Amino acid sequence: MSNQLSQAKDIYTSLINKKITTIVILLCLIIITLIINLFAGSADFGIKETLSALVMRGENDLAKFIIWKLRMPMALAAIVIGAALAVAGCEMQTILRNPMASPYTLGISSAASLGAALAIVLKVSLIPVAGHIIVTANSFLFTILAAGALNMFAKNKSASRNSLILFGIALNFLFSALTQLLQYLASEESLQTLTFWSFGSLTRVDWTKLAIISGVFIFVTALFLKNSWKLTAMTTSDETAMSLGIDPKSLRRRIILLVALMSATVVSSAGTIGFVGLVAPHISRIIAGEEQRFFIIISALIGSFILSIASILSKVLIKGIILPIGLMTSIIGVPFFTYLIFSGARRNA
Amino acid sequence: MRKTFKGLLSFLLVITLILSLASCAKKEPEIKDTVKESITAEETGVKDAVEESIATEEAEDTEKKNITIVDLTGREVELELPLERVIISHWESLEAYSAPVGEKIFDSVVGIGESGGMERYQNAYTKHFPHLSELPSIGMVGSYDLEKILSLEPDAFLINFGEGFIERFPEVVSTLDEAGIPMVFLPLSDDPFTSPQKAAKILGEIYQTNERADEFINYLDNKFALIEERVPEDGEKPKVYHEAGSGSRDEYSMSFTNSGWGLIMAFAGGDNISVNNVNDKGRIDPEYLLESDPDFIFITSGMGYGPAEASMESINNSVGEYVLRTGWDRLKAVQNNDVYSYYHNHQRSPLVFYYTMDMAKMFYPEEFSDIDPEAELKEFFDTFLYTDYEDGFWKYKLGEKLE
Amino acid sequence: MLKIKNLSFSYGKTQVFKDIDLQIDKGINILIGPNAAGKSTLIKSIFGLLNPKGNISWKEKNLQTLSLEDRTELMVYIPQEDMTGNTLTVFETVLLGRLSSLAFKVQDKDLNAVMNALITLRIDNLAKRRLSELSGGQKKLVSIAQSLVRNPEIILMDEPTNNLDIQRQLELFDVINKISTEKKILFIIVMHDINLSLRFADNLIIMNSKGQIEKQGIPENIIDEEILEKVYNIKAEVYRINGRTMIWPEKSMEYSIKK
Repeated sequence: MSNQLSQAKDIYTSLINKKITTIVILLCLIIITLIINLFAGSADFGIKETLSALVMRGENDLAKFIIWKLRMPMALAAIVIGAALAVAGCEMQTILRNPMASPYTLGISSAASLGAALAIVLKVSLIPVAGHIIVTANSFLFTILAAGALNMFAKNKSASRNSLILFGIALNFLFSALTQLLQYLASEESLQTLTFWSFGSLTRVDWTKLAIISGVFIFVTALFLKNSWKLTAMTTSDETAMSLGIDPKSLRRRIILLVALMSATVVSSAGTIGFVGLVAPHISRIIAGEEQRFFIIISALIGSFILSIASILSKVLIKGIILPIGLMTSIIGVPFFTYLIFSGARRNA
Repeated sequence: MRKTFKGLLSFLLVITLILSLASCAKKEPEIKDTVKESITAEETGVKDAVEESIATEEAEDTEKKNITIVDLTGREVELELPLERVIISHWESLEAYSAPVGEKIFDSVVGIGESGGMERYQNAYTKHFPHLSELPSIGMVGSYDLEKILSLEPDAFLINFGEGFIERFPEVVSTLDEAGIPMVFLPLSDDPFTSPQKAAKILGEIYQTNERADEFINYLDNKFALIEERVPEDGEKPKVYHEAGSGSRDEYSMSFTNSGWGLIMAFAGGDNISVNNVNDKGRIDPEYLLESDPDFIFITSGMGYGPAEASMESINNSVGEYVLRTGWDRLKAVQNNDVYSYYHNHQRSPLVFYYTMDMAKMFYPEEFSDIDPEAELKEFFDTFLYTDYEDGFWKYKLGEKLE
Repeated sequence: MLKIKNLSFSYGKTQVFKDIDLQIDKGINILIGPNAAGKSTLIKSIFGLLNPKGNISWKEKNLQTLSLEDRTELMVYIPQEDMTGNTLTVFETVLLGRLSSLAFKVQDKDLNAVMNALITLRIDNLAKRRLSELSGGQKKLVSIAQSLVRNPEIILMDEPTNNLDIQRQLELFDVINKISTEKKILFIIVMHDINLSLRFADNLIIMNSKGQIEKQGIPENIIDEEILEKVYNIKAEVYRINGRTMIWPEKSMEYSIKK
């Protein structure tokens, strides 16, 4: 008996070790990029000044202000938002059993854009708020609305996984069309604002928004991790899941709501940042497989890493301009993605 | 599998290395402490009377003092005078600011924002003030480089935007507020006939050039008063149409009705046909345009500072293309060559009086028979501006050939 | 003892099966019948994927009052389709079978159960391979291993030999036999292959196209030319040689090309 157990343990640990090593490496990479991020920016401080600003000593008040009020929130936002988008994408791909899914599938990002557009162009919001919060709040609420619509649709017994995806596509079209209508009616100024918003930017994320996003991220990810075995079962097939005692339809609905909540929080604060939610889980799947405990964690770390790099690039690429981060994720994402597709194709051929 | 894994990792490590190198790369040098470059004799287009008043003012104002002003959005701003390091948001603002402030402004600027069409202003002003070519940029609105702004340690940030900016970019405003950088909002676009003067009043206070500022304000107010006096209140008004030059042969662009050029046309006594067809900055219905058959058409394009040939490209792309639109050959304005182009952005500048006058003279030649708008413009340049009338191309009439 | 009384089910207006009365208590029970007889639907109903009318009880307990979770502790259903190729390893897939008791941290008893199942099915050498790399037959064995770790009392299988070559078919039944005897698990298997069914069934249940049970019992006792013609509409000969029963199908009664 103990021979059998030790054999089992050997196999299990050899499976896990690779994943744990990956986690450690990624953590190191993230810390490195975080540090680089704190050093990158157009204000030129020496290493000594930057370090003393970090520990809140040193006389250079300007350095302290810039490091703590500008660079730190942006660097941390890159880490948290990257992780959030990656985890959201991870679960979308899991429950839809579609490696092409992203947190924005099913109309979530277009709902957020519509909410923002309504607030920017018509100054109209679902709930009466004033000032600049109107854009964030409205975009969030619209996403939740879309999630609610999806939820109601999914409750219908005959809604299969495919019809859910189709419904999401329909929602996408609807929201995009309405947003375009608003763009047509918009004044020049509103149009510019809306365009800026859609690019996605970490510079809009202050400490308050960061706290909210972090809170939601921790809450949602913890729930996912708690259900990691059920989610692993969902990756096999609906019938297998049922034969293991899971109700796949109900689980799917609940996960979609959680994904929508996390995506809504991110998109309404920072705009639509694409690619991370698609690419990070992909890479994680290749490295670590779909066993959810590690799939989720490694996806999150890869997402943080990608967005951190993107944020550094956005500051460093063209002097004097902070490029929109959504642009950066595409620039990094596309070649990486192509590489993945080709190597995957070679393997499967 | 191991191979992919290794490959992935090395890729990631390489990226990380590249990034650490990139961000350690040398940054651009900080702006040198502003050095007063020698000002050539040609640049002092300042009439004697004004020159004298500057001299007296400057002598008094080197001691430090704090004042609080209210900017054009109603914000109270605390400033420490004299202002020695100032960031301004637009190159084109130099026109509107140098008029009430004087040469001081060019010495005080330490950083400047980017905007569309800025190269023309950049060329014009660096021609007269070469040191301006080294001015660091703070980026475009919407993506201002906050770190750069902060590291320039300005005494004030003069912004050519209004409340809209505060609404759209609250995080910029709050960050700069927190860092203690005074922002003075001086939008020139609110009212073409009074905004430059209102801004001038505040500029006069903060630069301590009140006398010059008042002269400037009176000058403009008088011009507008004259125009208003002479434009007949009753009687038939010529029908006029405005379109921005950003369209194409197939695409109609914006028609201004109750802002900018729309207001200017109305002040000059024109009957804007767009008023009955679209809202401000809407696109006119082509059929309605053809039906209305306006007497004068104004297509505001990208001209202004720079050699005439440079402006012609923009004019050809706007006026040149528009007149080829379906049905435009039937318009009497086109047949009579009463199609004109002015520099679009000048609708929010101190030169509005010239355009208003020019239009008024076209609409009511008898009432304005003794007014020569070109001469008026030239005098304005000589009196208040630090660029020259000859530095740019201000008015184009359809059919005009350049020498 | 699995007791099924008066079970019937319809999809909308279409009656799929009716008046099913079954009492099974051990061994390999094979369900055969023509295409639309409702065999798959029947075992899905027994498992609980569908809600039929009638009575199902196991050891005197009414199954229909149990929740899906409780039911799955008792029974396992292995569907016709293989698990879609993905990146889970065999080990992880089998580990999933312990879902109901699996905590975030995997415990020794879970690892033990997995190893046990893998060894029983002789696929322990495949433990670290990804599912997507396996053949159909191997995937079926993995499914069974996943079922075993739950210590079920009943295993329901839907056409498990469909895509397997003859060697894998024999291996599969070898394993099923072994498990059925050693672990005393009740198997209910839907099959298309009549001869295989005759070979391996302890109890043969023949359904007809009306969705009713035509006959059930020991294979060699109940199979004859009459019932084959009645249920399958074919003409076939039944051979009994050396204690082995098999059929030789000659032609379809409805349509056949003259030789």
